[in-house]
Amino acid sequence: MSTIDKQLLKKLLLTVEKPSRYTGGEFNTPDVTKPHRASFCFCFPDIYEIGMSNLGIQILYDVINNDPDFVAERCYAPWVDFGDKLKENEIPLFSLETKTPLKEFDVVGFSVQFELLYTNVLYMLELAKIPFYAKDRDESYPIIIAGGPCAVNPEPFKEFFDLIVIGEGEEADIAVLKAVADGKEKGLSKKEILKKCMEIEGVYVPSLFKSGDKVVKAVVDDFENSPFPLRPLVPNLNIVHDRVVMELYRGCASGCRFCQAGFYYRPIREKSASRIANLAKSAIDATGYEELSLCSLSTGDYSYLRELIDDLKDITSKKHVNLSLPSLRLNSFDSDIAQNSRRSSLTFAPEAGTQRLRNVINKNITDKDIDNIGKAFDAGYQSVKLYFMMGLPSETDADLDGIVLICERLKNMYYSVKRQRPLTISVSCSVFIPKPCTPFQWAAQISIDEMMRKQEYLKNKLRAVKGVKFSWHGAESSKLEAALARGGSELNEVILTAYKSGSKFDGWTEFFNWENWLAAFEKCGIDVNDYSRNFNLDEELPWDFIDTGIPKTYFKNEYLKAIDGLPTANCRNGCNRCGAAKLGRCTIL
Amino acid sequence: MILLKFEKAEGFCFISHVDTLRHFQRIFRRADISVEYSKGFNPHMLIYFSSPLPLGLASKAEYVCVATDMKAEEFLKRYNDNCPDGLKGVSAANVDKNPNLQANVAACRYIFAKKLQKKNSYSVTYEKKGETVTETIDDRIYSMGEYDAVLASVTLRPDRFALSCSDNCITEIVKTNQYLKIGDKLVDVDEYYGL
Repeated sequence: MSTIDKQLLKKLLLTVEKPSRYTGGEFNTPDVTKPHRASFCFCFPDIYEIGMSNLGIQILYDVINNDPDFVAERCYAPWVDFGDKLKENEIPLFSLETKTPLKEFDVVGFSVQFELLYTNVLYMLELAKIPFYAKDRDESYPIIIAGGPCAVNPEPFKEFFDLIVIGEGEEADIAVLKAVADGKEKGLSKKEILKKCMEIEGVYVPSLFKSGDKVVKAVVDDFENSPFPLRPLVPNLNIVHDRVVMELYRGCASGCRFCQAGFYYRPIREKSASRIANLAKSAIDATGYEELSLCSLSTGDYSYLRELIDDLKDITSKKHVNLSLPSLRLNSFDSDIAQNSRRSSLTFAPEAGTQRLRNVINKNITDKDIDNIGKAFDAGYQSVKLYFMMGLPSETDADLDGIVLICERLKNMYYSVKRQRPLTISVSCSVFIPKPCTPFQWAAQISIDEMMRKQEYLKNKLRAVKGVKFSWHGAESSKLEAALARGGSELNEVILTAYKSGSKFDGWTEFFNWENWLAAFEKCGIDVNDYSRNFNLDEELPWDFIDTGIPKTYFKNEYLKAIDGLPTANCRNGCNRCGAAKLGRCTIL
Repeated sequence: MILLKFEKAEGFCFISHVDTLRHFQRIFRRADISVEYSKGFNPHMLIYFSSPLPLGLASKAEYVCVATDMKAEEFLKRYNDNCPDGLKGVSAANVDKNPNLQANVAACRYIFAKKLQKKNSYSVTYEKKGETVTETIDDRIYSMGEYDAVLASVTLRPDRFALSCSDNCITEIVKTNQYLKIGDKLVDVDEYYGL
């Protein structure tokens, strides 16, 4: 294998921002030079600080490197300054650990976390000097694969990949590597190897797929004992989530109708408190991290939360480790649990301003639950972050007024007692984006004009409430996200056109260029607004061929209930028969 | 208290001082070295570094003073078992109080990959707040050979000095020694503290 000229690289690193993004050498890096049957390079189409924070990659990296037959390295999207330097100096994009060009790996795997990263996949392929389309890559190129949440609808980017893993990668990735290693040893062609891979659960091979076929989402069956890194990497610069992260469970019992993760990650599988505590202890001992965070879609709903926090108390207090609890749901908030984390700010997501709309989206939070925040004030919190969405199905201005009322109620609650410091409330409002694998996958997205009007409306109303900060998401990027989420294979060309005319890092507001995207859609003869319409309940959807466990009929029924304003109970109160359990037992059943 | 001498190797020269500090806190936690904490609302470990290295510069002689009552020998072993390769410990000594090397180190010795040119007078030119500044630096050069020089600490960056008499870039320079000024003599920190 060839590596990059180290002296030249050093010179280039002197000229870019945060050079330690590209140097590797993190503590706990496994031996990636051991003899192996096949090599894998994880590519994350965003910068180091974001990619290193991704728990999924950490798990899969650990799984592959723990296998005696395989090695995995990593590569993150270089920031534009370094990307330009690589191009200028004709240095092909390389792996972090051994500085090996991506082209020389057996398998290159992209983690696609969110729609606005699609152009960055192309950015990385181009820097690696790998042709964009799978059909243009001969036997000399690695097998290029994708996985991650966006695989829930892979049609918009399928032509760039030889193979896409739909669902959880722990078992599927190893199976793919086995097939590749076998194929390599037997001298099979890429096509023959891909054919073998099609037998693996969760694997979708776009070039060999026949219409009418189904791909069943890959699911880890024994989640309790599924692999988890005992020695996580310790980054050399401050990353976004710079802490030990423990995954409590997969899936979510809430059934919020807009939430893709809540349905896609089903069946619900919990880990035992004792296993999590053991994993946490080993990860803290091996990394020396000063913070431990508990992660899952709704941490407050974890069945053994109290028991777990008791188990962790010992570990965290002895070693001066902070315990942080993200994504608490309002109704699961307990002041004594919150007190265990030494934060001054609380984050809650009511998502909608009125009970009526919360019933529509099935966010089962009542006004009484919101009053629960009072407990947090009494525990010493003086800052609250609230997340809402605008443009939800059936939303009217009265629902936006509800957001203002919530802020006023919180203020009244806070000042009903004499406090030392003023209360700050941050309201963050994103735009509703209909996503595949949710009951709202058919729902319309409001127009850009309407997004702007609603933002203005809310901004003006909130201005009247002192102490409230208001922030919102870009209207145009939300429109694009909806299109890339719900579109079909016709979008491959649009994405490539947009990239070629300069779009990359679309998730970064300073780089997002709406005009460029509009031009790309137009050039391909596609109306971007077509993806925001109300989809017909009977029309065929691009992702229909994927079996996520939850049939279309379930989503349809949920959507119809939403229109009638009827909530569905939390799965913990009794099974709602969504069907996901057929792919693996729901632990809470 | 412990005074630890460590290296910041080539591969780690791009890691900023703040990130290096974070590394140390994590190394001590991994090594189960019990370090005293400050008493404020956000307690932090009591550790004190010699002057931060500019980005890109490697060093064979960096120092950190750590508030712990562990014996030096045990400390060094535990440290080296838990540090990343780029921050290897060289030696350690028990000291009575923080030697405050950030303030007390007067000069440092550097070695350069490319030959230094002999001149009658040396001056550096650099950008400061958008303006180009030129300064004579003769009073900040203690001594120099063909491939090494002893320069005033903090007030003279070795990469700027290097440009005045060679074309070494910062990654071609390595810091090798740090000196205290005792009377009018420079004394190596290692010698003074028995490292």
